[in-house]
Amino acid sequence: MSGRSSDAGAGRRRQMHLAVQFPGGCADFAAYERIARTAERGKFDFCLLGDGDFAGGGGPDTVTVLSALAAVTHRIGLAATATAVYSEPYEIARRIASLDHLSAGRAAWDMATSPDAYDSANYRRGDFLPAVRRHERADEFVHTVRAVWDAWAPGAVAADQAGGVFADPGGLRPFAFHGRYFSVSGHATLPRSPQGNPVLIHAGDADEARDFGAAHADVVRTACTGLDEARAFAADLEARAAGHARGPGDVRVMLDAGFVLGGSEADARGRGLQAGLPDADRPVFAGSAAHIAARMDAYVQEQACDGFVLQAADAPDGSGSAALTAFVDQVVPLLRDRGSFRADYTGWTLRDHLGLPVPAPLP
Amino acid sequence: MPAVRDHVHLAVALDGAGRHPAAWRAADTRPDLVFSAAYWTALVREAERGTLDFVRIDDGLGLQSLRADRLRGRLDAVALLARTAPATHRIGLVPAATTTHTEPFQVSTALATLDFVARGRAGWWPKVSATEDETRLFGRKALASDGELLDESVEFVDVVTRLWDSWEDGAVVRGGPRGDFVDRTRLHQVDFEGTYFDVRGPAAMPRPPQGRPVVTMTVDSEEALDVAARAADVLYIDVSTPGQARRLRARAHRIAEAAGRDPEDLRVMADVTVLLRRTAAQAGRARRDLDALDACDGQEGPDDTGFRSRSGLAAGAASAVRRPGVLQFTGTASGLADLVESWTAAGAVDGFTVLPSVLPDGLTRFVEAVVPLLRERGLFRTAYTADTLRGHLGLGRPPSRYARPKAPAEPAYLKPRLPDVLPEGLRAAGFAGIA
Repeated sequence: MSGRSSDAGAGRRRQMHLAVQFPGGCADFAAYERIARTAERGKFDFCLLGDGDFAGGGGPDTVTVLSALAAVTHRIGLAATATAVYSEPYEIARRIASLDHLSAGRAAWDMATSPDAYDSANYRRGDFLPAVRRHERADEFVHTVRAVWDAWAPGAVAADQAGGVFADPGGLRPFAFHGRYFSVSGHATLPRSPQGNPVLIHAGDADEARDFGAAHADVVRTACTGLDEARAFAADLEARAAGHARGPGDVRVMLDAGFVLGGSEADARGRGLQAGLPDADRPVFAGSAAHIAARMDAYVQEQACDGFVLQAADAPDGSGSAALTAFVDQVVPLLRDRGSFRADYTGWTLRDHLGLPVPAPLP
Repeated sequence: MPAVRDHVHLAVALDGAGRHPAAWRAADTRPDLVFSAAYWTALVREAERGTLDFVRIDDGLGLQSLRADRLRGRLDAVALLARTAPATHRIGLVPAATTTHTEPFQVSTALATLDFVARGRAGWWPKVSATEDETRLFGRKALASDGELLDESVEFVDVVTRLWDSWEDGAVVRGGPRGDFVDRTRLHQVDFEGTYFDVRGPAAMPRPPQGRPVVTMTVDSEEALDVAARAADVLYIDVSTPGQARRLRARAHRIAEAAGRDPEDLRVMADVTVLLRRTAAQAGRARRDLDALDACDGQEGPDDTGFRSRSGLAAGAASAVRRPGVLQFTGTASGLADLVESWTAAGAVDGFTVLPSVLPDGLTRFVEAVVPLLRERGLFRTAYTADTLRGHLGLGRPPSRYARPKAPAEPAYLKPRLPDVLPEGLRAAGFAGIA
């Protein structure tokens, strides 16, 4: 959680972070582009392309879509869900780092760690790991990914034409990770990326998922419903993070939330359900813009979370980004008026938006 | 045997600062920008200005060299070309993607996605990872023999293209009562059970705009020729004379025909490494300057400092097929236009892949000096006449192999095996309804 220690002294309001998750099942690039541009107009921190609760099945390739979106946006972060269960760490590290280079420092990897039957039937690794070992393996996976990301020292590319040195041999270090699940070594093919390490995101409320997120994630997503439940989650996560020598400023907690704008709360909720918006497994902010802004702000100011990953509730064909447009036009200005959300971007990278430090490279 | 078409097909191969190992040290290159989107976007747009059929981007999982004086490192080629897609409109985008340590399901999805974001302009250049170093990056299996690597890639390409077909055209029904929905009778498991993979399918997403992105393969061995003639739309060949090219092309056509393909569906393109100047003497001097900059030996192509690299599907014993990079042109624009014209007139090839020795200068010279000459001679298009890469290459859009027969009395074995339920992934991805 950010800003806990500084709140009281500065008297400054805690700042909200906002993201939008693309609707699933869409293969029309124009629809992605509309949503990403709208979110960027609203100065959102990032947009997230996921596959539900797992990755690898059920939609277009996330890194490919987001690489294309990097061409039509300039500031907004680009978060790709990708499975750590069925893929190999070197491959994931290389693809996410490529996205970070191609977006000049706006990439995030949403680490999916749950197995599912569809992917198992389609990948070489298959369904080979007992569930109890999953986070142990995911832990090694992330260590390996970071070893690849940190392989080239900062500034290793000299591009010294006269001296004939493209990359400083001392800066181009081999990496190695030898554990129970992975034993890999070699040279990475990419310089350290603009953000040092792309932002790491993890979603999950179960015990092992919380531990994993507290240990590794820059952004932890939760589907907690209710302010008290979310506040308890945030406090629990902060305590777990401290156990991994991470401070309150190192992890952002963001609530997966739906929203339905307009009319009374009961009306809006009814319409949301009609539109197929999930109600049971994540909070839904419903009602007038003023009501939604006040409720969301209350979550942040009362330290239940640092922000929200909003579910774009558009039709599956992405035929409109109407709901998000309404949110950006009606709710975001109210959040700004309350002093809880940025009026404009102040940095260029996703780490800048989230207020996260650039991690030091591995020694 | 099919005639060579009137129009020549032209592609450009982009890698680093150019094909020459010392290219990055030339005065007009920007080696400091090779990991930036702006660098690659400018190159692809330049190729589009020349109405080229496609750009080909090399890639590999390992580092090209350990030598400090070599340009090293690469961005993932699929992501790189996706980044350039919204900034371009017509030109084909053909990334290398490897088949040895990667997942066919993932690669199939990524290339289908590239075809969607580029609106029908994607291709694929499959390559094997043939080094011990690449094996260690994954730590999953031992380095296989050349034969096994090729066999695996054949299975890989088969699975990828089956997955592209696994959603019939029209499987997504637009504008149902609750929005678009999936007609699950048009989704098919591929049920692939091979030596290297078991993949059930169906794919995670609808059929790509081109049906199948264009599959391109390097012919660098007898075995690769056999594979490419059966499975590729575009065959890259490395030969030094039009006679060799013509014989190779004829053999590819015979193999394709024997495999039940129409030889008209193959495009055979020769790789040519190019260095252009106003006069032949200037070109020769530029070439010598570049060679002198290269501390090693001036040999263009892979170096041998511990990182064997493979240009194609296999590098097995070559007989009629030479090692990569044998056709080099150092001279003037009209000289290169003459070469293109004479090879084409001789029925040797359907086109060329130009490998500029230095980038971006070599590409700009080709677009500004050679392309206009080829247009004047009626050999090359003056403007794009199609929107898709298949369209540029004169290739039709293949029907899905799983498509339901129109007539009801088709043999039973053509009946698709239907998945019992819509895969979880599709439901989670938000498809609103099931037919």
